[in-house]
Amino acid sequence: MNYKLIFLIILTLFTTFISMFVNEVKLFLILLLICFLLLYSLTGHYFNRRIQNNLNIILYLGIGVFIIIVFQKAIEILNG
Amino acid sequence: MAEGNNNHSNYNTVKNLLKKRVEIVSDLSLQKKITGILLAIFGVILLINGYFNNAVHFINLGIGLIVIGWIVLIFSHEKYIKYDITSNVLNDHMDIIKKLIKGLNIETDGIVIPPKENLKDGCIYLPLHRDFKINFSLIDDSTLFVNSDNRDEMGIVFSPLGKGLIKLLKKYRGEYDAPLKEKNDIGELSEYLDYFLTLFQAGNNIEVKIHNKDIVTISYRIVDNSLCNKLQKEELCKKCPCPICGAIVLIIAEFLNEVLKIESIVEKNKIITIKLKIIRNILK
Repeated sequence: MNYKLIFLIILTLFTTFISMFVNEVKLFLILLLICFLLLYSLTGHYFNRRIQNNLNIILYLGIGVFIIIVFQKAIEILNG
Repeated sequence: MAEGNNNHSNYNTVKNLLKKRVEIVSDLSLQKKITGILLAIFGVILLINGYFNNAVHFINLGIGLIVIGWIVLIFSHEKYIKYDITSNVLNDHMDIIKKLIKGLNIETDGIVIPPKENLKDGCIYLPLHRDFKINFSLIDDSTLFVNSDNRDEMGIVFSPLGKGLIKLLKKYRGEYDAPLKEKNDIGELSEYLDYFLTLFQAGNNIEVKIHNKDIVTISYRIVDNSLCNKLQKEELCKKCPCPICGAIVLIIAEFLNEVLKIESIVEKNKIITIKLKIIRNILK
């Protein structure tokens, strides 16, 4: 099976779908990260090691963005 | 003289075909890279446009396109392992094996022995006579020629080609999966082999079938069949399979934990069909 193609098709469809229906960038980023995580955990180990290492960069970047969003929200709540 | 000319023209044809293949592959890789870069640029334009016009949907789409473009760029990498099946190194290795087999006048087919206590990676055993017996006490990792008073037990032991690929596979697979010996479903074996072929970009569409509990047939599509043509011509496939087929038969032997006889390995239009027979009665 061509796991790369499956990965790309699902990610593209999902990205197009949520970019049309989500009105906030932060929510979009979180949903995109969730989709990426799900797809990566399902198909990731079928990719070769070099691709896995490069996809890990996107993953860590996504997690970094997620942490920033969570911190922003926490500061907002704490400041009332 | 005529045979020499023929060989030379065959060599040139194979060389030209390989050159064309390399060109097509590099073209495809370049196209993927261009697509990825274009997607990312389009994403950046959408992102900037969305930011200045306060259009959230455009910003979303821009970010999405940048991520997809980046992933397309990552996927455009060429093969992870430069598995050049027609390399001179491999050809030389096969020539040594061929000379050894011809010199000893061995006409029997290869016997695949799964990993055991004294054989860490398993082996390919070529008995000297058709009515053979396998004496496991005479075979270990350091054995090349099996000498015995009983002529039926004599033969050669080859370290199987492809054992390095299996080691690499186990290293990667080990992070996600249970060891091969603990699997007991043929579906899991097919999935394991499919993973193996996909990981090394060596082939796809693998099917494993077991008939009457003693015949195993495997068929798969190989990506590069140039070595197959050479080995098929010299009838070496059955005696000492190439790294890909060698790894597959070894994985199956390990999965079944049985000694297997290679009945046939046939390549036709890039489809490889391997027929193995489980041997139980002749073991000593």
